[in-house]
Amino acid sequence: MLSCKKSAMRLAKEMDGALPWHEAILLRLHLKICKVCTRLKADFAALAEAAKYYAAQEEDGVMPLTSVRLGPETVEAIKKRIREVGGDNLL
Amino acid sequence: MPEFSSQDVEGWVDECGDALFQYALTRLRNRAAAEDAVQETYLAAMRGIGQFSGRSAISTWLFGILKHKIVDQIRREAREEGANPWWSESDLDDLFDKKDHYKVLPREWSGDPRAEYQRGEFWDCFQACLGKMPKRLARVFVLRHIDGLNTDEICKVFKITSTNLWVMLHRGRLALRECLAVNWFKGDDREDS
Repeated sequence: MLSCKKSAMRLAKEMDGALPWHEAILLRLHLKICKVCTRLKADFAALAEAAKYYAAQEEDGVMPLTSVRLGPETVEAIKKRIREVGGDNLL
Repeated sequence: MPEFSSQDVEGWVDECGDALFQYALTRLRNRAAAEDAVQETYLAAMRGIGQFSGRSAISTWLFGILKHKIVDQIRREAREEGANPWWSESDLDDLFDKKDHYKVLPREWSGDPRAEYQRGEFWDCFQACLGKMPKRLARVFVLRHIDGLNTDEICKVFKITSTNLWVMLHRGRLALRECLAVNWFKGDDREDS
């Protein structure tokens, strides 16, 4: 029977699609009797899914998902640099 | 070939500066570094504007520039820092007791992230947790799950083995999961195994 420690490594390999079938069987047996590892497996899958959702929104248009914003002073500083580099000329 | 004035470029700061900044902050974890990366992106855009075909959206083009800058920086830091974490990258021994049970049992989540996607505060918490994690753990998590790189690609960046990476990913997932348990899914008690 696998221990939680050995299962941890196998969970990680499984998430990367790198767990051979014979080890997958052992992992499944462990998960049947271990609430902790079962919960971790489910929650890690949810984390991966959330990260994927986050990634899809990151570049999707203009509004970030988080409340992270450039401060007005930073925006002004960046624009100032743009003016310095570009002048009024067409680029 | 479209022509742009520096006023146009200033407008792009209002349009997608925040999105670029969030993207940079998630990966660089430091406000000043992320602000610099955004500024560098716009200046590089000014210099390279002749290469912008106008076929793709401005934001896509700007994101492309920013991504290159961030990848360069992550590579550079990975090279400079080398591996010297307080935990081992080769095993998970310190997380387990003599019977190979978790020393610290994971806290229960009181909910499911899927139900939180529409709440901006959840993503603030998600990002703050990534920011609090040890840097290399956060890096591999972001590269694997947000940027979608595969094992080989990440191993090359950090010059580590796949076993090292699985150890780090497991630690990273545990840390992120625990941080969300404490700060978002405030489950009250640790459950006995």
